[in-house]
Amino acid sequence: MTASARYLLVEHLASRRWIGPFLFLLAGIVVLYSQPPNPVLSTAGTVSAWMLPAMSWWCFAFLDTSEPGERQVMIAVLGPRRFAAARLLGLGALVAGASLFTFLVPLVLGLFEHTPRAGEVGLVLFANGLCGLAGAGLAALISEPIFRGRAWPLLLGVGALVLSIPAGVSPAIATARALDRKDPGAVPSHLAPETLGIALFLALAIPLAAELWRRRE
Amino acid sequence: MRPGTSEALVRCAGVGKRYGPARPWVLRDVDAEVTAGQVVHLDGPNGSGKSTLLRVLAGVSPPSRGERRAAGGCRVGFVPEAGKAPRSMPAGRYLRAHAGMVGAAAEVEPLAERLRCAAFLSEPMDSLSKGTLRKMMLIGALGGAPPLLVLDEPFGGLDAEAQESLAGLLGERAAAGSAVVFSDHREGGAHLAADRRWLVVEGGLVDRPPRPVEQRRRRVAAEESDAELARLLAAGHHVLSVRTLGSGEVEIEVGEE
Repeated sequence: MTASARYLLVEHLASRRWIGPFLFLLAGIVVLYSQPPNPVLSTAGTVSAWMLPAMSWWCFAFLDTSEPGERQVMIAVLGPRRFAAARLLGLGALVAGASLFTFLVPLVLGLFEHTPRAGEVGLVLFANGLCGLAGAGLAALISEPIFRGRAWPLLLGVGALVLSIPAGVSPAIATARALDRKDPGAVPSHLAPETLGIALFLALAIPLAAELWRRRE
Repeated sequence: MRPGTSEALVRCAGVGKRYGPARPWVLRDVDAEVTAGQVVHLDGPNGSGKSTLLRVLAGVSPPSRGERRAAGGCRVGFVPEAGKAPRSMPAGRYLRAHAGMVGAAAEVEPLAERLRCAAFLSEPMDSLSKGTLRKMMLIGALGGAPPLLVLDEPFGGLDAEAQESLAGLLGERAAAGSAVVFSDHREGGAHLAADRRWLVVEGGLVDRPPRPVEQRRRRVAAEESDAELARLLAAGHHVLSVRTLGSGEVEIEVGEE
């Protein structure tokens, strides 16, 4: 299964479908860190929020990489469950990589107000991963073969991201608010409800998406 | 069926398939069984449900009703009807990655030699001709000697030599115990001897012993073709295709009566 997930990632990189969402993510990082002094948690929290739409797009592009015939060949070889697991493993690796990248760019370029302490590093990576996984869950629900073509996924994906803000259920806004504090010790308690909410969302969205992938093939 | 091989690899019972609750049924109440070493030729007119049945047999597409059961650990080598290639990936890398999933990366080169496409392994997949891409897909399916091969028009787009090579290769795999289910719409070319012929008509399946190609195709003078067609239809034959030949004759391909 690891080999299958690795193949899906290699295929995604070779397809160049990653370029658009990657540039979108990078643009967010550049813009949001362009106004010093960039307090570590506060700014990183805003960038974590940016990861939600960016990773929704990127994960959708990842799941959309394989052509239907190619996908069917892999399902025949691996079986539908193992193929779904390989796709999910690939999504996890993508989110982990993007979370790390989003943290490393300002760190390497010295854009933070001060060098992040260990606790801050952990919180930032956790928040990045949280928003990235929420984006991955959304992408899984609107991906091929659940929807064929791009019109419905675009409408539903953007609609969900935008409407969640006035509805007060956007994980991006909640995560950014939770990290907008000077004391790292106060963050976990504010981040806990959001973590629970996203965990519940993923617990529902991932099995549902995997079942729909199987049925709609 | 090859002697001494009777293990059921995949079995369909009462299988129906439609692509959505409001869509028409593509397959209806299909019962089918494929055993080890069996070669099955899937036949039928365009749009009859052959490709859908192949996807169900391969375990790619679940039945809407009924059930498909496969023997435990029955890996499937599948070639879809028309596969687009992964963009920009070199063919060799694509195949080794695929074969690597079943621990058969070392088989890529010998299979490519056999199908006469080793020279294209370094070429990007999206630059290959239709026939060469077909060969690559076949190599991907054959790698690791899967017990069940499900091939949708495997000979389509292949040159005569490659058709011969493929027919020989599939015959060897069947002799070694792999089951092969394939559809084939060609008007000639290399022939893969089948143990069974499954005729798919309007979503239903009729299991028949294979019939030689020459008995399925009838040639008549062009001026007599209308009368012959009327006679065949009146006799209950299913006409699969009608083709005007350069010789002034018309070739009528019939399915099952």
